Amino acid sequence: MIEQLPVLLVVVPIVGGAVPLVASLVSNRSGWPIAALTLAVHTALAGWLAWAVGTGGTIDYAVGGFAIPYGIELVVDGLSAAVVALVSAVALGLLAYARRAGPRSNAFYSQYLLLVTGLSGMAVTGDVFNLYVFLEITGLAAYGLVASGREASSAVAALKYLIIGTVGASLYLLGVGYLLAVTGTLNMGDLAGKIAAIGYGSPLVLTAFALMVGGLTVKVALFPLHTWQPDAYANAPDTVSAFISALVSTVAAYALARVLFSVFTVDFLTAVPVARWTLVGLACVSIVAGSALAVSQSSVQRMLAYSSVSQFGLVVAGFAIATPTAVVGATVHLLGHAVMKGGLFAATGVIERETGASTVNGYAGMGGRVPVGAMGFSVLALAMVGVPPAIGFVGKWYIVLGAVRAQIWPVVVVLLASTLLTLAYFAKLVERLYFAEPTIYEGEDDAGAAPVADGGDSPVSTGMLAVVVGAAVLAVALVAAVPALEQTLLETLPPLLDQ
Amino acid sequence: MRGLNEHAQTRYFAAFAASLASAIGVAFSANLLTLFVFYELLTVSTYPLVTHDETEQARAAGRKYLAYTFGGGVAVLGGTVLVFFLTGTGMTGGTTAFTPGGIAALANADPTLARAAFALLVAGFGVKAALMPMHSWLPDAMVAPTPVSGLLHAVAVVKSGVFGIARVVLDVFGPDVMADLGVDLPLAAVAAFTLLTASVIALRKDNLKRRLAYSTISQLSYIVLGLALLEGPALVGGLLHIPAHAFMKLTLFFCAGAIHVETHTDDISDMAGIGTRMPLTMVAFGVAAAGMAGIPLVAGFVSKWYIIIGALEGGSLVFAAALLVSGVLNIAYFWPIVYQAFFESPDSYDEKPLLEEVLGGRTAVRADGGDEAVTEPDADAEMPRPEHVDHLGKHHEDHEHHGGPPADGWDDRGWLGGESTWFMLAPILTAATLSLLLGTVPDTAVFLRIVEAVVTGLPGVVV
Repeated sequence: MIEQLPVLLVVVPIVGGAVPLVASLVSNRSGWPIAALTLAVHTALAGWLAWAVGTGGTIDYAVGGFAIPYGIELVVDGLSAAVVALVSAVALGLLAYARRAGPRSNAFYSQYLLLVTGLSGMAVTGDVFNLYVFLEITGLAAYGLVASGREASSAVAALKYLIIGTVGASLYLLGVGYLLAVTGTLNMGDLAGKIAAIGYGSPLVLTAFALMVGGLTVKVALFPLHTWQPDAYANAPDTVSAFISALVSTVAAYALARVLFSVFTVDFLTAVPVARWTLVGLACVSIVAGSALAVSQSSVQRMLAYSSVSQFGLVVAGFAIATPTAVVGATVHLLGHAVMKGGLFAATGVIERETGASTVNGYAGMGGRVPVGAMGFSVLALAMVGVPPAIGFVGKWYIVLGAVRAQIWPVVVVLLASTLLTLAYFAKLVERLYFAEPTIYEGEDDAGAAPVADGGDSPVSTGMLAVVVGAAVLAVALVAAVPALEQTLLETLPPLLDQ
Repeated sequence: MRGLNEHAQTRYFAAFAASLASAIGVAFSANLLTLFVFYELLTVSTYPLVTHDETEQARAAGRKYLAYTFGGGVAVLGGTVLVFFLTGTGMTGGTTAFTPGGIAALANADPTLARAAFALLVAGFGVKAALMPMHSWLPDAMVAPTPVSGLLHAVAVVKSGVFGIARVVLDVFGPDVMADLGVDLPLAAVAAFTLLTASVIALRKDNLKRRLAYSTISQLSYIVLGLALLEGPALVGGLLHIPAHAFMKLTLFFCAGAIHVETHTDDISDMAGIGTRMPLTMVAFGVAAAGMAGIPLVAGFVSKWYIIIGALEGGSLVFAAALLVSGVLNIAYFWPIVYQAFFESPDSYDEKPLLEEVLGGRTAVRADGGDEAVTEPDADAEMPRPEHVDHLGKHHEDHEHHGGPPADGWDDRGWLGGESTWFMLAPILTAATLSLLLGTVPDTAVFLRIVEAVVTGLPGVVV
């Protein structure tokens, strides 16, 4: 049974995703329970898989019984298992948020499950073309979800996301094509050996690397390829913002790591220093530029979106340094960022529904009116800044330690400074929430905001608050899981890192 | 706090308790990383206290506080990572555990990186220890309510910085390695510069809490200087000055708070004759001020004695001279407060040229362009200058007396506690008594023995 788990993680949500569409013939309110059931199963399977990988090591599965490397292979090691578990947990948790926050149509839940399919598939696959397929499934579901907002701006944002995202995916596909042409295989493990045999200096291999990594950095939204991200995050419905900000870029960054370590390998990075330094440089620029852009935003959600640009700079820097310590740090920050950013977006949704505040100035004095949302926001913001003992600190500690051990001093400086850069935009918000005179008063907001308040219902449900509080608690509690994660990663990754 | 019916008391007391917990965590940490965790938590939990008033000034002070202390935190993090890296080999883990006399592996580490680690750690902890030029958050943070200024900015926060430096000097690098690296002299020079400069600045501060803030900056550098001299007696003196300064500065801040609560007076120039109104408070103030200056029989004398002995033993005459000059400056800025409290009255007081005249003293033009506000307290009522309006500004001073003596002079409240409630007097007198005890019977009061035990535990240091 354990060998079948990876494929089940893809099959369960895609089958579950088809059900709401059929069920809408009967009732248009049946999406939520179906999604909840599907994701509960998915989470149980993902938890089981993570446990199995943690105790028994890497799990392979040949889809359809075709011999590897000709058939599609699913491979789950510590890194993939952690990402899959994150995808399941976040998707299930956000359902509690979606129940009140909507959108409530069955089509929404179909797309939601389709997105989970794509994300899970990207995490478990061991085949570069299969990765592209799931990348596109993820992308299409995400475009649709962004467009499900009611304002015209959602449609524009979705279109922008569609165009840029498709360009990114196409670049990746082109890179896969080059690799296929030069090696004749698509299996990641097989590719690693054949690329080494051809030689890392081969122009075709270099081109493939540039195209694949370039395409994925679009999806990760590193500066200057981030332009789709703020619009998509800020204009999507709250549930979708929280969901895609937590997972889509995260899994894309995972795919980037997978391509770096499983396809091209660390030896490639060592043999072609320009590739590594370009990536490290891009990451550092992203950290600084993302923060600078975040500071200058007036809309809180856009600020959070630019904050993602900056934080993914940290993650990619960790992966590109590519020592075990740095990779553990990047993984911890990848997972931690997903929880924190998802929670922050959920908190902005709560605050906006409760008070109508969505700008930095509007947040003034909201600490008293939305105590739970504001406290959750503040804790998550401080965790993101890297205040110990939250998860944001642990990830940063490992990445910085990795950079110090690799003795890349300029990067160390940028990484350390990133704390202050992050503080620059979050301190502003926390100060406004608690220590400023309100600019929006009770009653004023009824006209503008809370469009979903249907008949007497409070716009914010207990489930939504629970998501915010849960994210804040997880942002600290996840630290306890770091030793186990480090153990699993160091057991399953050395074959990738010490080649 | 409770007496004044302040707003947001829940937040205030929650943050206060969290600060205490973090400060205890700092004290009990067994390695640099744990220390860093609590050091950062202390920053976070004191921020709501600094910004408590929710005025623009308080927010600005809070921003400055966060920027400075998180900047310091980042430096500490960098230093900690470097120490961890230097004490390990290759990819295997190092250690940041405190070892008396220093972590052995650091002695063999790359000297340049070791110096960088030391500089980062000291700069990071130096922010909270208010070493110049990283001190400017401290006077600004005095907008916080007085108990916060007293307990957190005279004791917990600044002492966490000094404590961090002490840990770095004694238990991470150790005196021997520091001397080998040659980092002791720069640290001592910074400390000596800070203690002199801060004393000079304090001379010209009219707001009592601001003057105390600069006095804090100066006194903290005594501790750092004692540590940086690396001589046994200086180390004892430096460490002993941590509790000694705490008791004396607590007394002073409690006095400032009591004066504020009772009379709404914040400026020293308004305090002429206040000794009749608050005699016990001002006596306690006088005792603590004498201790700050290093007058015998008060706690400050014992610690400064050890530091100076250490400086002379090490042959650092310059630093001994700096300590003595600073002692004189201490008297120069504390004595006028005590003197005018008892020997002057609101109607008859001496000129204060140092405060009121332009620097250089060539002309008698008032420093603030002819505005008589400073010399005539009641004119202040119309336009309180920004630094006069502290945390009570927006709540009380609009409709109450504005500070300074009442029109008919200070009342005579007698010596039996009529000046205030015993809730305020008791802590003041207790702290003052403790600083006297520490000064008169230092061997019986536990601190000296603890400190001597710590210092004799260091290999290669003779007390």
